[in-house]
Amino acid sequence: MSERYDVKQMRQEIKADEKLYRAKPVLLTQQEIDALRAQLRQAKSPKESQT
Amino acid sequence: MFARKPRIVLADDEIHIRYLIRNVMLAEGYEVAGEVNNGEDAVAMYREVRPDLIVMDINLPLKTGDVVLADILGEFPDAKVVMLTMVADIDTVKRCLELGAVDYILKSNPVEEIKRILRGVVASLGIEEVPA
Repeated sequence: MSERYDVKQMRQEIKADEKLYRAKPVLLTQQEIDALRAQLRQAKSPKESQT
Repeated sequence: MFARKPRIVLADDEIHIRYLIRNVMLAEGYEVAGEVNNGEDAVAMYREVRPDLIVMDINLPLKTGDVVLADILGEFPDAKVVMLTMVADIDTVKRCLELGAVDYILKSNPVEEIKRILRGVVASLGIEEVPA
């Protein structure tokens, strides 16, 4: 496991992600994404039933 | 418990995310059929392994996740692809879902939420569940 996962590199990545997260905040929440997905699916299904 | 383990490929260039998701998948009883750290390898790995599901980042080196999504679905229209990412602007999310991603998971979610979403996706794969 230690050969596959370099802990030092993982820590650096986490720091970089935190920096990115602060600099570019997530614009949609998971709930909003789920709602968008449901909405797109609903819009798509009538088309599919016509074919 | 499943009649067979759902086979999942993981595509992310960040080791700590692969480590986290790999452990989530193993704990859920899924098989991690392959791991890749760039977009070109993701397409190649998909062709080689033909997994039940591929969980993929957007910001992949060599080929971005949304391009890989389109490539995989162009070649394998029944492929199931889940995007797992930090990028959640409406255009990117909408583009990926319209291209055919089955779900879109934020990396910033708590692990339990990531597990819940993955369980939902795996349940929709149609792999028979058997009593433990």
